[in-house]
Amino acid sequence: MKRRKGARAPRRRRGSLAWVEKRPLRVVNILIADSDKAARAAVARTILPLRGMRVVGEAQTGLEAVSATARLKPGVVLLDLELSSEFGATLISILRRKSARTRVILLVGRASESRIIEALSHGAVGCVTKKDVARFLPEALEAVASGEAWMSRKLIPKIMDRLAAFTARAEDLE
Amino acid sequence: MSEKQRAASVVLLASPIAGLRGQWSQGLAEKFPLYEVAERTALERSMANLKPAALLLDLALPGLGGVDGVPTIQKLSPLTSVMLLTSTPNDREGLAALKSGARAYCSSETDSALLRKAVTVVLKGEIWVARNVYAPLLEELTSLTERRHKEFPPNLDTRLDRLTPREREIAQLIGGGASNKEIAGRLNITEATVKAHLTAIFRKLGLSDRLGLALFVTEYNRVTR
Repeated sequence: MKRRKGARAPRRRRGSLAWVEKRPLRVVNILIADSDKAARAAVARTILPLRGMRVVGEAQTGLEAVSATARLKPGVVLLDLELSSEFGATLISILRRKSARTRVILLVGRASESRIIEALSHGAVGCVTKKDVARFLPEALEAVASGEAWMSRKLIPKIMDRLAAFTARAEDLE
Repeated sequence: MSEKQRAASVVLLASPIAGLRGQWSQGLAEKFPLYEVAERTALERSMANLKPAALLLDLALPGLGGVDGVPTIQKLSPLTSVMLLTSTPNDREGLAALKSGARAYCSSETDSALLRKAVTVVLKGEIWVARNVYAPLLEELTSLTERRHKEFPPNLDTRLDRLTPREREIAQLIGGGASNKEIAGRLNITEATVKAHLTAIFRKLGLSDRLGLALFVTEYNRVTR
């Protein structure tokens, strides 16, 4: 990186990191985990022009996703819901344990709402349908990178039902 | 929507501030028959008598008691979609609002076109909240799920107990990402023997490949740790 003379240089020499936080651009590292090559390519194409987002790895299987997440500690994993199908939604819990800072966004082809909600209840914080990748993925990445969640409004009533079921069950047990 | 249903979609506006009710009614008056109330007694009476399709309720209404007061109002007309509006929206209160049974939570300054859209989607059965409520909502879902799994471990898998000690050793090595060759070297057996063990392991656990076994072992270790 080129050093420019300026007001910030002395602070840098004193070891202050204040200038780092002021940099406008913070890069989000992204891992794409999908068994389908064309789908990975489509996702990568969508991310390429985005400022502050870069693809740091791709995984074709669940196990690859686990080891790549442990190694790369990406900010975001874009995870094909099908990839975790064989193991229920536990793959998402495993990814989160391998790298606590990593946030998981689901890429969903044709999946029932209940499977999506299962995955969200294991800690995914975003959900984008594959046909909407070009349109909504940039928005979803932006939201998730800044600590928010991103999903269709239509999922919310189902989530409330699930929360209500937890509460009802807890009352039964008391 | 038929004329009859449209006619039934009465919307009740409840706020102590006349200006606010006026603002809300701008976007809604064309589409819905509107009624307005300014205080709690009138609200209770109107809820019980009108049974509106939707209630736009200012959380600052005196005597309501904020979000906690919603269930009492809801009981007067269980089918009414209660939509909460506040001058100071925040994500925690938004989550509490949804849990109290409200079908919407948004700023009382929401512009009239957006408010009309909110009422329309809520009447279709959807829920309307600001995007910043989504994250705490999912956190709640995840933490309740995890707590539940701790209390009632999801049928704690005891399949690993079916394995012989040697097979269990090999399964753990696969879980750690070792190749057949590495396992053979480590246990001082031939690769063919490793493969034979693996076949037995897959059969006993009902798995079909190494990926499945590796994830199974990882998950098993976590649950039993």
